Amino acid sequence: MRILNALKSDVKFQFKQGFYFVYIILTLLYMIVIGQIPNKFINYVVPIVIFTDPSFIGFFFIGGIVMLEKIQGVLQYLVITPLSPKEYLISKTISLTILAELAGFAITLVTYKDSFNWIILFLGILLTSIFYTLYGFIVASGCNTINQYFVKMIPYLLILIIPLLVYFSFPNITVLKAMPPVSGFNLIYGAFNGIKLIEALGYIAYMSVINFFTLLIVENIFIKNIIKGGAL
Amino acid sequence: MISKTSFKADFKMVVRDPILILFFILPIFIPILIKIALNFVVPLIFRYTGVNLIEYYGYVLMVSILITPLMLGTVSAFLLIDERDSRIQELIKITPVGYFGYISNRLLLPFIGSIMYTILTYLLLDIYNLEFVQLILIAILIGIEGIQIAYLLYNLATDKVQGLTYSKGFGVFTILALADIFNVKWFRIVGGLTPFYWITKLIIDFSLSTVMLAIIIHIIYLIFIFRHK
Repeated sequence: MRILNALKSDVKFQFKQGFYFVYIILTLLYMIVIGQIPNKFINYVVPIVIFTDPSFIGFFFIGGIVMLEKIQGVLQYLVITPLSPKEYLISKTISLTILAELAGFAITLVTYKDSFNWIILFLGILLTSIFYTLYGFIVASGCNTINQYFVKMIPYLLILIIPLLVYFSFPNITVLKAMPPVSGFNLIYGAFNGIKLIEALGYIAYMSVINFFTLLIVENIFIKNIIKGGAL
Repeated sequence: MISKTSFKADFKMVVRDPILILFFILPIFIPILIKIALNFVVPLIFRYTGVNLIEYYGYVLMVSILITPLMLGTVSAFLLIDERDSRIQELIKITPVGYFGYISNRLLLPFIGSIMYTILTYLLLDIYNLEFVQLILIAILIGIEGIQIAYLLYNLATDKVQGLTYSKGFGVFTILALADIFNVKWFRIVGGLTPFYWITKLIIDFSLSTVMLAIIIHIIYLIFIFRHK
């Protein structure tokens, strides 16, 4: 119940801040831009757009949210509320993932006319968004300004992007599939271009485990920095 | 004199803050990266789609140029938002510099940076030919866009999170600048109502009427943004 209330207030906050409005505009834009692309390329372009934009929402916004709540003193008050740090993190992550799912499906529905695997797409966006949002928490730790967050984003983003770029060039290097961005991308890409059931299940199980351990790491950082008065 | 001293102090602040130095150096890598990417992307796109990107180099130049005011404008806006949040502005208001002097100095950074990097991007990319007058006019108008982006973001955003939301939405400006490419009439009209579209026009179709319209649109937006506060 506590977590549901936190989730409700997070979604409300994001709505008030204009997150949903911005994504309505962006969806309209994607509709125009993707509408110019020849049909034979749409099944490549749409998964790339879904993976690089809606799935990334959490990573982009979480730094600002954490820093704002820090300035407002919300994080300090968290210690004396019944809401545990883990519940706080889950609520933030799930609320941003709801936005990612809505934006991802909206873009798909207005730009992609063929059939696609709804369940795989849902799980692909879900697991990727959870991972990126938690990863964003790690980047945000120690930052005091948004500009610091932007700068810190660059090396952290490169860690995610480089394996993906290498994978695009050398898809036969199996070890790259174990990198969370590659696993997430393959799930989303598979929703549009087909994926073997066993492969999809493997990625889903693997990403779930990775997300669980990332949550534990982030929770530790969070407790260390907030409860013990560090600089998140 | 006060303003000059204040600008010197601001400049010193930029030089001392490694984060700001980084942001003011980063735009130099953009044309270099785009130049490298074009070497790979142009033949690839031609091979798979038959589209020759070289014919669209005017638009490529525009997108490359627009990255700097978007980046520096956003950084300056977040600097202002941070200083508003930490109540530094309240202190500055009662100093001889005053609020106007303070804002002017902050906005000089995206203005000068955008002008400088527009010229540098053009020279480093070296993919499209512009006349000297054309380049200088575009650089000045891009500098004004740096101010517009910074001040608009600063005024629209009541806090950091809203700042991030709007900065994400500002990506729209790049697409609006390219409105001519898309075969959607209403979108072209919307694009034409924004200053970004007119920089593309100045690159592709440099004529007296384009120059006049580009200057007028930029001035109108500048007045509107500063009056809207």
